[in-house]
Amino acid sequence: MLINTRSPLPDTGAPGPGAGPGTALRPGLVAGTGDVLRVDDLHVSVHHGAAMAVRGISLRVRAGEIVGLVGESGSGKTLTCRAALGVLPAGCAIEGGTVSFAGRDLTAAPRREWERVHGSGMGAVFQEPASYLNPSISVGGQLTEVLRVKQALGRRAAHQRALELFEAVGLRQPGRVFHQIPAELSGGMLQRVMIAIAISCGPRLLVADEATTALDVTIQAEVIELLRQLRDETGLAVLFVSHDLALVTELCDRVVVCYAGEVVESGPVQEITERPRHPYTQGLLQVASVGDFRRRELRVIAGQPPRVGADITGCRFAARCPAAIPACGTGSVSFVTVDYQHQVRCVRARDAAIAGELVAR
Amino acid sequence: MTATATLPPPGAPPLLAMESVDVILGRGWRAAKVLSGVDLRIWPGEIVGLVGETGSGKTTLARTVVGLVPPARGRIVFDGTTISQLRPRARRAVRRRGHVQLVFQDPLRSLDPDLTVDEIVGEGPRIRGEADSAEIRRRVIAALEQVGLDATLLDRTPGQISGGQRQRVSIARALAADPRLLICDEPVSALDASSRNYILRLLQQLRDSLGLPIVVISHDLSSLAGIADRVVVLYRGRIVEDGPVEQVFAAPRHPYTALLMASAPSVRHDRPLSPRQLRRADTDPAPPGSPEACVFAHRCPFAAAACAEQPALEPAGERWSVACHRREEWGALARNRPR
Amino acid sequence: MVLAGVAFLAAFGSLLAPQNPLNINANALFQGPGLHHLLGTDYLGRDVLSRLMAGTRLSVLTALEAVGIGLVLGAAPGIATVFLGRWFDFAANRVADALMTLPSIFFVVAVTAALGNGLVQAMVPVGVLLAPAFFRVTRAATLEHARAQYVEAAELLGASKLHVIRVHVLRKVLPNIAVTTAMMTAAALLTVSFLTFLGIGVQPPAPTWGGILSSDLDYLNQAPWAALIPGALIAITVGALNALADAFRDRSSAGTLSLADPVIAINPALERAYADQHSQSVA
Repeated sequence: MLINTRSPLPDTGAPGPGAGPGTALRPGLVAGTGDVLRVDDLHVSVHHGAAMAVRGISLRVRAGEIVGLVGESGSGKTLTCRAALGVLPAGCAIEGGTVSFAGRDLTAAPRREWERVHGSGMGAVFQEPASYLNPSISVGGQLTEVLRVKQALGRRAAHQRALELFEAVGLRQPGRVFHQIPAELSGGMLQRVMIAIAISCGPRLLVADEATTALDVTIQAEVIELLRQLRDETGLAVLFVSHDLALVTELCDRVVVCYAGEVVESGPVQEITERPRHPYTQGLLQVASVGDFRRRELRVIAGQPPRVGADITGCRFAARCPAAIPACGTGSVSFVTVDYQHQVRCVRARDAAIAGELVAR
Repeated sequence: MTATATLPPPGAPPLLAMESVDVILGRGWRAAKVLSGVDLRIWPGEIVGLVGETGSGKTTLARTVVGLVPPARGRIVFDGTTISQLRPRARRAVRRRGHVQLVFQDPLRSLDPDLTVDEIVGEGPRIRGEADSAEIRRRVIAALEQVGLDATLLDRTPGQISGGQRQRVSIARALAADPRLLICDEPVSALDASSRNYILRLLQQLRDSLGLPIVVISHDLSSLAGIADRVVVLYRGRIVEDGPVEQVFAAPRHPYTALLMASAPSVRHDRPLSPRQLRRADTDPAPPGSPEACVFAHRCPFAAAACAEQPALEPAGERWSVACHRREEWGALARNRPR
Repeated sequence: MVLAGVAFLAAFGSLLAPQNPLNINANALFQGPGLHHLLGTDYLGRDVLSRLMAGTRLSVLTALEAVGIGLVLGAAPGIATVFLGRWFDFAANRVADALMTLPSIFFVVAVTAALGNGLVQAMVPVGVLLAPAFFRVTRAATLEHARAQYVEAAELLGASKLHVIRVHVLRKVLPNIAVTTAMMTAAALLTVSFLTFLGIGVQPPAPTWGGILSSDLDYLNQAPWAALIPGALIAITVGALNALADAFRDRSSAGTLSLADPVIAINPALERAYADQHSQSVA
């Protein structure tokens, strides 16, 4: 029996499943159509233009959808996520492509416009919650500060709302947690506090960048259940960035696989899991946790990813690819649609021989 | 790759035995009991996976075995000799023999950034001082080869090599001391899936070629999956389950073990139990609040009146022990809970 | 560069002085700077330049002597105390505290009164007074490194404390010691000048910077150059020493894997990629 509790969200204008108790979280929510986030052909340079770390990544997140962005270090997933949030670090710049939120192009938008979007449009949680919280102020105080600044709530109303939010993210005894400082809370609880802060102003998109990597595995399971619940109840769209493909397949509706600054495959999670077409995706599936803890042969993807920003002619995975042919080394490889919403960047995308090499079970 | 678990012959004496070990860290009012009543035995040639989440005491256990932390109670016996409670000089002599080695969790912190790989890996033999520099060089190169690194790295410093290579240098340093037991503290947590499998495979090869027993400490099951013969589950300083991998994972006897298995992300969504079935819900009765209650009771959906007393580790099969009062009943109860 | 010049003077000053600094020439009192006497003469007709050059040696050497005493008395226990256990550390800290509370001038006067009024004898108490600073700094620096995981790893291999100090700790603590030495030399130089200004520890007519300053101060109206120049010399040297200390400090913190790089700081995984750039082997 599959534990697949993903509720298929209609891609129409009909109000989503937000009619239940979840509306208490977001008054005035409308589950709309169209893309909440759209990244088109993004190019990002690092080290003040010295290297091109992201080379044409595109992705879309629709309302109520959970999209997983997977890749190892250097794949460009983190920079893409930061660009989507408008918080690229110093020395990095968008060299091409666009970032649009709810139809508005924000690529070259000034700081002020981004600040309007932060909080009420999109919220974010990152890997180490403790480093994003003031260690000497109570977590409740930090949440109410956000509420009072961004939503101009009065003190009592903000306090009440904060307690509601803490309860909505699964914190037991919200009244007690309110007055505790970050050092008194565990990693899982802190991450829930961060999620509460991120959704406090009713955003349409939540970006989670390795949000569960630093958590214990049992707490990780709880947090992804929370994300799924938030999506089910409020139609929140989620961009979930992780290096762990297994985790992404647990939570996400669609998966985008990155390698060396490019998207190499994207599609519905079932397609990616059962019919992966790119050799890198196939390799990832073979090494990912397969839920079998008994003794077995462990597979490895040979080789190392290329240096960040390395210039390579042809396919960027060819050097490590077990299915590489001479054609892989010439010219750029285009994104090809192989199935409904399933696209691959591979010269041999339509090659039956590759499709036959499915995940070893 | 060997497909069958290597079980030591019955009755053989263990290489390492921890007997009723308590460890207390901190002084005065800040003192906390980090390990309680730990009974652990390691036999030659086996790979043991020690699993524990934050606060379980697993790193403290590793540090206690190698003597960086003295046990408050109990003793540790290696190959017939008690190695806990030694005076510093005797302890140093024992260490120079290199029998038990520890690979630390973070190679960035456990490798001296100012030393070259040659100096780091050769530190053990140099301290022992029993061989000349040419011989030590040979041993360093041999140790590096065993972890799949070659001599070109000899003159590099830790800052000049990759994270995966640093981890392997750390392992090579332990190997150069000619250990008879290797403890690896979270060797793969910071690595991606492919590098993780590479290191795990490497450890397995070391056990196969050297007969070296290895304890792999980790915070989740995926990090020792595939190579462990035996799994030991630690919760808040107590061992709750300890048994052969095939049997424990086919049918865990402790609800926490089952929770760990259910929570682990996997690409195959075919779990026998879901995490929700193994977590306390608000509708479950409150667990017993006595200070001697089972360490897991506060999180256990199946806690009953009997659980007001900490269960002892009792045999549940061949070389398999569990600390749970309700080990026979909770399985059926879990299956009846909503997913 | 200033320091190189001063060092040179200290070594060879007395040999190079154009004229005998002790030569009293009653005919040439208070001459302004001129061809014969480049910096003029003082109230006894002695050539100021020669006196300064000769005085450099005395001042600098005695300052260095004091620093040397301070270093040995302070740095060595500073490193050792981290490894010798809590009682030794407690005792050493209390000794350092006591020394720091001593009023410096009175202490020096008292010691020279007991040992005799020579410059060398005066430097011993100055060295003792400098020692606590060395102790504190080296102790703090050693503490930082003595608890590192690579030290624990070395202990697991059976390393003795001496091995740990020699292989792991010493080279990391040396930059701190160098910085402190430069700063303490400046302090010692000031103290020497002050003491010789007061007339402690030096017998006239031997020239020292402070001594010259003191003796010529009375005649500021008639021969300002004679007094001002030693003062300026002291100030410049002290400033140069502090700059040297800063340079030591900057150099010792450079060259580490720079996590200040913002791209790397935001993502430890990127740090791995960055480090991977430098490697050529597989995985």
